[in-house]
Amino acid sequence: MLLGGLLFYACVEDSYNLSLDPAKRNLRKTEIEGPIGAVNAELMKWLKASLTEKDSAKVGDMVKVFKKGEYYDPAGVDYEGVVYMQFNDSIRLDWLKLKTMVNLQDIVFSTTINNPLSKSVHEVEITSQYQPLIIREDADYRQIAFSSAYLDLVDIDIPSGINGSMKVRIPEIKIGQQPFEHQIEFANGTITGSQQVTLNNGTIDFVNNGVNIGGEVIIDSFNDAYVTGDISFKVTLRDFDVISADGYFGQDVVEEKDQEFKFTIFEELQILDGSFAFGDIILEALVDNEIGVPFDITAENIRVYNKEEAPVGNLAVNDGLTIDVTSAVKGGSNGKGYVMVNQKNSNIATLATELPNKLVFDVTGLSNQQGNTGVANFIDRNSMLDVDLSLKFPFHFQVSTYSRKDTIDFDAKKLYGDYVTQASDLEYLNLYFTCENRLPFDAGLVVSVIDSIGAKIGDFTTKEGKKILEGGDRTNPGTTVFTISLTGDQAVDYIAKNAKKIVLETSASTTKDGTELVKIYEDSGLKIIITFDAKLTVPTKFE
Amino acid sequence: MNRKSIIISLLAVFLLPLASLRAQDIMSLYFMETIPQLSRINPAMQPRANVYVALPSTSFTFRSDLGVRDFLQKNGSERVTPVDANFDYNKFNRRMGKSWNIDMGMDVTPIGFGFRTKRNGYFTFNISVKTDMRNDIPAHLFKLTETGIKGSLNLSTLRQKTIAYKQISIGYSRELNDRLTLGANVRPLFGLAAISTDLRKFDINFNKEQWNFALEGDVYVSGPLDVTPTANNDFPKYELRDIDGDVGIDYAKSFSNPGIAVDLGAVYKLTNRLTLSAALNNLGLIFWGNDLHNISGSGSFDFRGVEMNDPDQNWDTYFDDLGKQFETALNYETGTGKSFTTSLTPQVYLGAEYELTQALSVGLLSRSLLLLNGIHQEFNLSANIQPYRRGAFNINVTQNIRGGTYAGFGGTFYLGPLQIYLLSDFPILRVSYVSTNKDGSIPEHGRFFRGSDLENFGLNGGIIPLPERFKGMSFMAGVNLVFGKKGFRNRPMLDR
Repeated sequence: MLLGGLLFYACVEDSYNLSLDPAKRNLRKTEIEGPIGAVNAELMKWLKASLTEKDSAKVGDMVKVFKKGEYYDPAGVDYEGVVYMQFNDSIRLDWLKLKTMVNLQDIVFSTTINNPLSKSVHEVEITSQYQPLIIREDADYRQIAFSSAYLDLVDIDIPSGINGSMKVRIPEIKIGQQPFEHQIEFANGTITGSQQVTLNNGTIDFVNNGVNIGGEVIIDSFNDAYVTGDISFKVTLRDFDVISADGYFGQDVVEEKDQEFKFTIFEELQILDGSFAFGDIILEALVDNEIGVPFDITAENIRVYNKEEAPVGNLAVNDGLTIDVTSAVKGGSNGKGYVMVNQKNSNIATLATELPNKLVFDVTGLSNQQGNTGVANFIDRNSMLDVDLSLKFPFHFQVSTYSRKDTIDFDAKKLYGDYVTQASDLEYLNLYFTCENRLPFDAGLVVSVIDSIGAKIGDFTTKEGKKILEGGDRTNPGTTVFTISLTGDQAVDYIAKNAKKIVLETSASTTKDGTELVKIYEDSGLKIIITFDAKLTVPTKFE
Repeated sequence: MNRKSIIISLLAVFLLPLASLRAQDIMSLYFMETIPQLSRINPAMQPRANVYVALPSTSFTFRSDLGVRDFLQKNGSERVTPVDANFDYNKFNRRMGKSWNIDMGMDVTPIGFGFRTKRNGYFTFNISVKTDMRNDIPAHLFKLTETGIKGSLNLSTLRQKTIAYKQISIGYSRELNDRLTLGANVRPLFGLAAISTDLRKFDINFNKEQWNFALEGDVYVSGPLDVTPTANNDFPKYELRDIDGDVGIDYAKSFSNPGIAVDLGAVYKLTNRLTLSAALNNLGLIFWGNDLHNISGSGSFDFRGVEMNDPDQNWDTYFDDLGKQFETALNYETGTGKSFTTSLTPQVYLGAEYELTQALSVGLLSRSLLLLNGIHQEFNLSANIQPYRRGAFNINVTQNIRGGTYAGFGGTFYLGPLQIYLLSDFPILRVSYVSTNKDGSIPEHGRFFRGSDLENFGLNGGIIPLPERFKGMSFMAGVNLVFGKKGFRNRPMLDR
């Protein structure tokens, strides 16, 4: 208050205008220097983070490291600690595909009892006749279990004037441990009893892959003193819904055409051209067989496609690609089968230069490939045969001339915003990069600035030249130091010429100009320390 | 923090500067022998009145090494700021010295008295409550705008000291002979509250590879604070204690935190007309031992930029951890038992007064404040009109050795035995009008500050009145009852 009171009596000494607009002031340039920071890029971490797959469990399954002794390259060198990417797929043969191995045909059994009426009361046996359920000469089924089947008694012809019953018996079919038989009655020309029977949850103990159907007719009484005529009928046995079987199933061929196996390593790693040459690529198939049948599984016509769906060749495997799958043991372990395809026995690594992303192949399974060895086959509704495919890309490769171009939107005018007229107030900005490279890569970088129509305005090539990384390894990192500079004149030029994009042209090769294969290990990585100095006007927009 | 605590805190923040405790005395008072309070400045100087009773008086002081004009330098026809290319940093740094010192002080004297004794002595007594705030802002801080974020900064001159204390002043002066008079004030002190920093090291080094911060220092507090510890050894929470009502009165009446100060003075009549004087004031300190809190830290921290070790790095967690590393590096400790001392700022006065007539004299005064970061030196030239009756008047001009010339005045008048006095150093006599109009125009205004100019005040298209030369102000006012105001019993004042 006192200050205000004194102020009220003050005289005006001077009056002047003070511009708050930085553009109208001759502002001071001050220097700034300091650390920006460091990036410690361990390959495994950054690779996992860069994948499009974000589920951590799946990522963990995709990017792995070989353990000691887990794999040796074709030259026999241990891959312990080497990073690899793995892609998985699977083919499943389940009951739906396999139940054709146990295919029961329908039976139609006809019989006639000729003039059985010469005796006053009698019993006539229906002669048992063999009926095949499975028409295969190479199979020898012992038993099946079924959940349902149907028996029909049709075309029943019984002379009138007699009363009695007719029984059909199929001893090989057991329902609840009891041999199957079914009876109908007849009297005064009328038949009583079901002529269509559903058989539930039964078994068939085969005789020569079939059953015997028999029965009897019992005449209780005559209505007339004299009756003549034949008794005839048909029995149909059909629609067996099999749930398990054992015996010897013979040799069957199961085919699956055009199975696909997709893998996206070249997209995930942003490999845009064929400059990569993998030291090895491993294709493995692991079969788990719950079925009591041995198989030979063969993959043929293995076509390779790139991401544009264009074919790039066929995978040729020395001696073919066949997996010998053992039979499961009843009450014991599952059967197994395994095959590996790598550079040693195929052209797989060569095909990689075409940047494939899909294999399409035909699968053929041949059951009981050794024939009847005396060991019984078995199968049931829950049986499955799984073929797990994995494609492993060890980071063991050479890159001769990998290059890529990335574009970053960069609107110089927007960046400066209201300070666009002050671009000249930047005298210089230097970014200093110190790189400790534990990766076996040399790299070069050219940074260009282009306008909206793509015309080049300028570039930020480092003072030391294009090479920004010197390849190294885990124990002996390559060290490089380079500088990227920007002057005020350049900034003014970029704004005046309407700079819109920054283009990063990266070129890379593995060490020694990509002439040798290199390995990338779990702890390989790159450390970049960035510092800066600059001389510029301190922005002083007071509003 | 409850409402009362908030109010007390706000009052402390706003009133403390206004209370502007007396960091140093008002120079306008030095040669005013008609105002008995002059014995505070030079204890050897005896007031003219034979007896006086000092009724409640107050004084406040604000002083700054730098004023607005130091930040808005004249460069030809334009004004330049520290971010402008033409700003003269040599001149700016000369004005500032090692640090930008800002002082504020306040004195409230509810009662006092004095009387002449036999054998040409003079006894004085008064009770005061004082606060003194001193802030030092390191000069190196301005290197950031001068040279940028580069090189080294020594910020160890950063200082903050605020003390509030009660004082009983007992003074005596005696004419040893017809030329020499000596005097002294002895002042027992009783501290009320204090904050004091002791920064022994505060360096920041900027280079491309790292920014290094090194700090070693202590903060001492004596005052009504409640400390609440926090979990995980984090910095504790400090809150102002609720001291209203009886608790506040007890606190104010307390005689803890003792101290002592001494003022020494001498006056020598060289000739009948020429008198030389000298005073060495404020030699004292206070021992703080009550309601203590301290924070000490010692360590250094290297900042090498941000580190990105993980592509999915959680930056919130990272910066929290960085903050914790900084705290850990500082190695700070808090406590409640460390006693400390604060010293008063010694002042040296050297004066010479020449009596032109018995009522008119001219004076030349030198005042030196002995600060930790250097000496603050001022020279004052005054004309003192002190007739025997009705009143007295003083006009003076002060020159600060670091730049700045200021006028001052003092006056007193009598209503019978009632004496009313008012003194002021550095009143605001001039302002500049600053316009921030984008078109460069300056709104119309008068020669003197007018109330109607208030309509044009503002940052956007208006004018801002700036007391550019203002670097400080001192004000003192009070009332005395004086008896024998013509004084000098047994020694007539005529024909001198």
